[in-house]
Order: sequence, then structure tokens, then C-alpha cells
Amino acid sequence: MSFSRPSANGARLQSEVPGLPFLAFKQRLHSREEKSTNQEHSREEEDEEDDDAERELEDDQATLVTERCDTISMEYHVVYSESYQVPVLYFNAFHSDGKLLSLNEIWDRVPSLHRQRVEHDKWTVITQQEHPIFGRPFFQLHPCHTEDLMKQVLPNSSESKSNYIVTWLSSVGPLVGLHLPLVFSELCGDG
Amino acid sequence: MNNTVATPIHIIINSYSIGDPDGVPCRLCVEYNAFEGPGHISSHLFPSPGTLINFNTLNAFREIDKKNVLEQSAKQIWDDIKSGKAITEPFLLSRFMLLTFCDLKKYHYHYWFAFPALVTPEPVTVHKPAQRITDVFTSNQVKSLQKEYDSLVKTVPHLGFFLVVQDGNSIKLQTLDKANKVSKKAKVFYGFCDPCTLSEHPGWPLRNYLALIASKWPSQEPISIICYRDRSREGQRSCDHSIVLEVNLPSMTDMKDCPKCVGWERNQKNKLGARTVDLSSSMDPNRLAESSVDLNLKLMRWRLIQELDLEKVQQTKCLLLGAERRETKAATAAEKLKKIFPGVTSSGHQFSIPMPGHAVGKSEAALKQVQEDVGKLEALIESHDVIYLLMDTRESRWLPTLIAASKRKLVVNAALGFDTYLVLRHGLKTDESEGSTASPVNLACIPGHRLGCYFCNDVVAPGNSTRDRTLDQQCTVSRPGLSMVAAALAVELMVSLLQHPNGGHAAADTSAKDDHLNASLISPLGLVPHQIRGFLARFHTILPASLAFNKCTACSESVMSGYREQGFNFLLKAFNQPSFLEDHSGLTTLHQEIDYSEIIAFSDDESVKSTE
Repeated sequence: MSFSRPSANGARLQSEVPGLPFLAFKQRLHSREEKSTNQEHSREEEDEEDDDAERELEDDQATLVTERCDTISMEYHVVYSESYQVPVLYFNAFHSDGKLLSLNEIWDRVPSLHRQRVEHDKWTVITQQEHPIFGRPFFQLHPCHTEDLMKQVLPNSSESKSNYIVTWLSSVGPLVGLHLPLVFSELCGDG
Repeated sequence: MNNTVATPIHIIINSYSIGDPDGVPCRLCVEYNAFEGPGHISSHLFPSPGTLINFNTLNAFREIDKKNVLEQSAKQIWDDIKSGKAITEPFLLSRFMLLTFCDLKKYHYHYWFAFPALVTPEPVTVHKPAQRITDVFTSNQVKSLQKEYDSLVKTVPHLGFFLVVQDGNSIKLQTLDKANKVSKKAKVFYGFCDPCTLSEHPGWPLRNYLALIASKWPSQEPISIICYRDRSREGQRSCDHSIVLEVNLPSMTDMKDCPKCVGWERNQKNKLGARTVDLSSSMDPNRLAESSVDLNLKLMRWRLIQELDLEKVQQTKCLLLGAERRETKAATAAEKLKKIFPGVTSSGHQFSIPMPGHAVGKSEAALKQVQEDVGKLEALIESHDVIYLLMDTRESRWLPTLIAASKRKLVVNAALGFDTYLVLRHGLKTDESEGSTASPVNLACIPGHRLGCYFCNDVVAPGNSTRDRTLDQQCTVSRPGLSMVAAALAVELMVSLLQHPNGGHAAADTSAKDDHLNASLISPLGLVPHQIRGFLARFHTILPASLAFNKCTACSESVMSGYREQGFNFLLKAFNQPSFLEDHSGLTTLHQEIDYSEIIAFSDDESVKSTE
């Protein structure tokens, strides 16, 4: 598998294990709300505002202090599943302090139009699994519906394989914040 | 710095990017590979060397002299500027400090970043505010700037600071060490790769860059700065959003001492304080186990059975009686349960269950011990919801059966033969039902309070008999998989029972006449049979149901009232006198009533065998 052109959006083809390449993307998503990820702290643990620091280490006027907001770091991997014989999207999402998002938080970020479509299958569409290469926990878009989906979208089996990833990823990616640039549609034959 | 308090200082390399979309705040990325040195950074990221100081206690972390820490780092930057090292290795201008303390029991991590920035002796003033680069240069010039950068970065990877030399229409990029060789008539812009995305403000790396410029290349004229930003959107790469500004910079060439420094990062509340992150939900093994069990249950409920009452399953208290004769088995079992699911509350109790027909010693000590054991058993049964009888012998099940029946507790029995097993739920008596074994009942659908117990089908009392070997006494050896099958079925039977709206009073579903195929499923999990009898040799299972026996040695009215009225003394008689139970329950009378003369004839291959 190779890229048709050097990928401009930072996607990389990686191979940690020989013969098992996978696609990796990273991106940062801006989160509108400032969410403190430490809601259950005891009072002593809470880092006191260091009043001395405030006085001595005063920032000078040259520092622009902006509104605090959290950014979510997303990491996506596309790995081929031997058992399902389809590509599977694995992803992880972290707050800026390194904390992993919970499954509920991931669901909160699924755009509402997609949410309705998969509401009845909610807990099986996005699950947490061991990454087949790294062994770390990763969220996964469950592959069991992929084959059906692709059969509907790519009815003509003589389509060249290079369309498959783009077609598939552009259908399922938006659930989890992954939007393929429009220019990729050029790879899809009739475009 | 008080090195005796802190643990060793680590040098780590982090990275920042200049390609973020608008509005995303600048960030320095600290990843797990930060300890590996500068070689691992991706080509489109920029290195930032730093120092990590880890503390062993929260107090040490809080009390370290922050001003001092910052000054040490500032001095390093200042020395690099003065010596000229920052010109050949300008990434040294982007240093940072990181203080950490890790509470590894709770998985709470405290950390505080500092990005030291040297402060100029007088403020830097803006001569010309920020403009988009496309407003200062033509689009061709911008394109060639990008091209120049790309080719320069091939020879000097991760180049973060450079000179943009505009000579007439041409744009050329140079590394900083060529600053003094630039032609006098060319215009020099000081360029740097800017992680900031705000359209009117430059990013933090500019501050130390200005200190370098002010020391090495001071000028009375305003200096021009290019904040170079490069990102891809929709598959297109562009640096058009880079900004250009002009500032008046006071000279720092004569400064000998390290200038003042600022740079501690503000926390989420915008105050100058450390940050904390609680990672127990993804690192604490107990929390992980809990959440995975919880997820499993949720999946079952969501996908398959919305009516599943999960709380009921989670809150049921189970008492497992068994494992006699092995000293430490109970405690080990409790431990093993915790290994499977750390959130379980489990404890092991080691004591003997007295049995009918096994005489209690005459000594006072023996008597006292038995009384204690009985008391313990009664208390345990009282405090649990479901009792599992998993013993090796038939008679040892007698006492728990009686106690549980009188306390109206659910009982699930599991018994093994060599290749056969029995899983049985005892009928659950109601207060009215104790006297009602005479009234007719629909045998096709026996209600829960009329179902039998383990002893209801026996016409001999459990005792220390060597002749009548019942199912579970025939062999001490079973086929290896049998115990697991029986145990699993025992648990599932209980769960199905608990999910049934009538609980232990649920009527028995049976496989007689294929009723189990037609039965309406009231419990969301399916059938609630009375008994599951399995035959491993044929991989066959049947679901019989049987009635409570009014002369049962364990759950009949006469036995239960005897226990209720006489308590321990009743039990003692049962333990000590082999015929007591048969007499008391009425079995003795029953035997006597059988008139052998009424049996007309045996056929050739029939013989009198004791029933099981």
C-alpha cells in the first residue's frame, strides 16, 4: 500500500510490525468548553493558587492571557482486520493534560446527525479494544457493519481498490471527527 | 536548587507545531518519547529542549523556589545567547522547565511548566502592527519563501529561526550565522516558525529571539519580524496566514547580567499555579476492571435485553458453601474472586457444617464448637440473598437447606456425579404455604412455593449411611469439565431467577413434552426451571420439576416447625440420633405403611433396589 501523493494533512503510513502496515493520522480538535478534568479532587490535593507566585512571578504586560480552553488530541489508525476482512478505524482522544476521554465523552462529540443513525446500536458501534499492533487500549469503530455498508456504497466490484479506503473513511470518519479533505475525492473514479 | 530533595533531573525533548487551525491555542507537546533525545521528532515539528525535575513529595513540589528554578533556566538561555551557541543552534532559545510530582497510589499527577522568556530592559514597542504576509509580499514572493524554507530545512532540519533577505524582488532564506554577511542594501526580516495562530499576535518563541537579536544585532531602526506559519487545510498547504510586524528593540549588547525572566504557565483557572491530572480511570487497575464489567453489563442491556435489572444482579449477596476438608480453600477462593474482579466484596470463612447422623462428641467443648458453627452458619445465611450449596456430601447440605428454608432465602444446589450433574433451585416457601402441601397443584406448572428441595425426593433421611449412595456420593471423581458446566449453569439459573418478576416464587419451566420450547418467557433472560439435569455422555440436558414433599426431612412443615420451636436442641437430636429425622418427618410411618404383600409379583429382571 502506498500514497498516491505525499500526504499533505500529516497522514503517515507506518509499519511497526513487518507486513502489517497501517495508516496514522493525528489532529487537534478545538473543544469549546473549558472542562476541568479534575472534578473529584479533595480539598488538600487541589493545588492552591500560589499567591506568592502570583506576586513574585507576575507576568509582564508583554504576555497576552487568553481564555482557557481545552484541545482534544485525536490519533487515528486504520488497520486491516484479518478476521473481518475490512479496514478498521482505531482512535484515541486525549485532553490537553494527557487524560484519555471516556466512552461517554467520545459519544458526546459524535455529531448529532450521526448519533441518531446509530443510537440503537450505541454501545457496540464505538467500543474500546486492544490495538492489534500496540496492545494499548484504543477506541474502535466496530467493523461488523463495514462490509454491508461498503456493499451498498460500492456495488460495482470492479472498482479499483484504492477507492475503498477513501470511500469508507469518508463515510465513517465524520462520526469521530475525521474529515477527509475534498481533494481526496479525486481518487474515487467518477469524480 | 536543593538537589537533595528532588530526584534526578532529566533532560527531555518536546516538540511544537506551527500548523494548527485558527483558534487552537499554542501548545508544546510532551510525549512518551521525550526522553529519547532529539532524533525522533517528526520533520514538521520543532524541538524544544527542557529539564524535568521530579519531586518525591507534594510538599517538596510546592515549596521549591520557583523564582530560582526559572532563573537557572534563564541563565542557560542567556549564556547560549552571549556565547553565540544560540546562533548555530537556535532551538536552544525554546527551552522549558517542567516540575512534576506523581502520586502513584491514586494516579494523580501534578505538574507545572515554565517557558522562560528573557525580558528586555525596556519594553519592546510595536512600530507597525501585524499584517498578513500576503499584504507585505506578492504571492510569488510568498511562494518562493515557502520553497526556500523547504529547501533550507533539508540541510538544516527542524530549522525554527532564520533570516529572510529581500533583495529587490528576490527572497532568500539564510541561517542566522550569516547575519553579518548580508548585503547592506538588502532588507532583512527576522523569521521564525510560529506556533501561535492568532492573527494579531506573535508566538512565545519570539521573546527569546528578540533577546538574541537585541544582543547580537542591535539597531536604532525598527526591526521586521516574520512569524512563519504553515498549515494544510483540505489537502492544500499554505503559509498565507503568516504575519509580519515591526518593533522597536532596545539594545542588550552591553548587558552582562542575566536579564529578568518570566514564564510560569498559568493553570486552568488562569492563576499561577500547578496543574493536576487524575489518570486513575485509565490506569488504576481496580477502576479499569470495574468499568469494563460495567460496560459489559451495559452492552447486554443495551443491545439485547433492555429490561435487564442490572442493579439487582450487582447487589445480590451470595454465600457459597462447600469445599470442606481443605483448610485454606475458602480464603483462597475469596482471593481468587478479587483477582477476577477487584471490585467484589468477598471473604472466606472456615468452619465445619454439622451433619445429621454424624454424632457430635459428648464433651462440652465439642458441643460448644458445634453450637458456634451452627450460629455462624445461621448468621451467614441471614446476611446473604442467595445460598449456593456446593458440598461433596449429601448430608452436609441438610442443615443449610433447613436454615435457608426457614429464613426464606434462595438456594441453588449443584451436585456432580462422574458424568452427570444436577443444578437445582429450592422452592421458596411463603408463610401460607407451609401448611398447604395437601392442596392440588398443576403439575405442568408448579408454582415456586410448591417446588421441592434437594431432599424432597428422598424417602430416607440423609445420614451416615454406607449403603445408599446418592448421586453426589457415587464418585469422588468427575469428568474435568463437569464442575465448570454445573457451576456456570448454577450462576445463570440464579440470575434468570432474580430477573423474573416473582423471583424465587417463579413457577418452574420444564422440558417435559417440549414445554420449554413453547413456554412464554417471563424472565427477560428466559426459562427458570426447577432442575437442570445434565448427562455429559450424551451431551443431553433435561429440565424436570418436582413437588415439595410433605414428609421431607429438610423442608417439610414438621421439620421446620421443630427447628423453629426448639432451635439448636432440635438440630442436636438430628445430628446425634440417626433415626430422629425419619421419625419426626413421618418417613418412618410411611415405610411402615408399605405393605409388601401388596406387591403382586416381580418380573424376572426386577429386583428390590434402594431408591435414589
